[in-house]
Amino acid sequence: MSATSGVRPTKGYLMETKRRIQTIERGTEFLKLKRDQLAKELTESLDVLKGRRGMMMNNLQEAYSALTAAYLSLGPTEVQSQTRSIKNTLELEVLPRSVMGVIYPSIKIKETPETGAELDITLAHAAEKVYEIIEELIRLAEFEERVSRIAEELGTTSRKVNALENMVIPDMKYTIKFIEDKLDEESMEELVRMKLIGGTR
Amino acid sequence: MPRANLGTGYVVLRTHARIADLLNKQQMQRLAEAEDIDEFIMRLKETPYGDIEVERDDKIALNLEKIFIKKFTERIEEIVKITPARMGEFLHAYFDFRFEVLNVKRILRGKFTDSTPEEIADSLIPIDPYIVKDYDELVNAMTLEEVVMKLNGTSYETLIEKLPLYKEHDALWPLDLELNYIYARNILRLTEKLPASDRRIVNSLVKYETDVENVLIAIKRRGKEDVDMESIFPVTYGIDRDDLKKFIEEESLNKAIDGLDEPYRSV
Repeated sequence: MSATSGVRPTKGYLMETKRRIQTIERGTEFLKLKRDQLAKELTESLDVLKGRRGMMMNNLQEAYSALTAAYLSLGPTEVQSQTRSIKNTLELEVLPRSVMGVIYPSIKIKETPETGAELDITLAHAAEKVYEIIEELIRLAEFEERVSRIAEELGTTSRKVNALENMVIPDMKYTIKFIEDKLDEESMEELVRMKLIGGTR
Repeated sequence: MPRANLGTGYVVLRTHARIADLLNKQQMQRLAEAEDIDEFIMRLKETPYGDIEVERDDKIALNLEKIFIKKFTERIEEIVKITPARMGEFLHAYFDFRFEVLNVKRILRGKFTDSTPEEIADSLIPIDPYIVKDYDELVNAMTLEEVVMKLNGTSYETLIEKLPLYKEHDALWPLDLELNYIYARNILRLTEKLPASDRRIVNSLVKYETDVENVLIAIKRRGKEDVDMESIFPVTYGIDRDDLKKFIEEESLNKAIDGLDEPYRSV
């Protein structure tokens, strides 16, 4: 469908279209700012994510060594028996948070397992390390989801900016030009008509 | 058969002769280098443990551990048999009591976490009861309190006094600690029957064990306030409650260790 189909070539419509294009151009500028900010946030977040994953691998190795030490010192039966005595479990609450209008889930740890008093010292150390890993995993999952939603929003914003810059605004400019041409033509016709009427007198 | 009092030299000799039953350094190394559990079992067959049969299900580590513990208790029994009467009785009590305390702890833990009687029975060390009458009776009790009450009239009856503390904290540590002290107290009492020289060695060994256990408990409570020292450390030997308090309160562990007497200071 042509950009000018359904267009009324009137002065009122021209003024309305010019007002609309100004608003759209201002909106596009805002969207560009948002896109740039999101891109910056995404780049920074990806660096942080990379660092956190690296740290996580080190901590995983530490936790695994601590767990192996506990197994070596106590034996599998005792480890299993002692771990059963931990009563409190990990309780989480998921809340919505927002960064530049992007909503992502934020995880709040409400209750943590009480391990120290019931476990042997080697197993308590391993449990502490494993719990640290679980907490890091939760934070990492939260961060990954945040990054993924920022990336999604960046894609949507970029598509919107592209559509506005390459389709909507050129179409509207074309419509304005079309109306202006039409109005010029009409006023020229009017002028010619007036001249002709004046000439015959 | 009554045991002849042949002296400790004979026991040392006979015990040393059993060295062939143990893994040597190379065998241990080969086992440690096994790629997986199947290879480990294959390599184990080449050692004095070769005659063992293990079920290769998802509980293979637990099954192997049971076999090793059984083997260990058999060897202890053999040593006890050849040990002079009084020392033999003591060794028998020392090991059986130790394993029984572990079993009682596991039964209490099982009840605390509402494990099934089958799960609890599966976690027990396969030994004959030493002080308790029957493990099954304890395993099949409905609650932890019932298990503790069933121990009334035995060396474990002081556990009953710890039930209010257990209920107050909803935690097993008061009962666990009491079991540790029951073990230490009884072993010390048993040493009275030993000759003076042996008694001194065994006494110091049991006291060291209790001291180390107390320090480990104190370390686990580091940074905590209002620790009830009397309840948590009812028995102390070489490391008293003031020293143990330092382990809980001092910022640096080294500082707490420096305040101890030898041999603990050299840790």
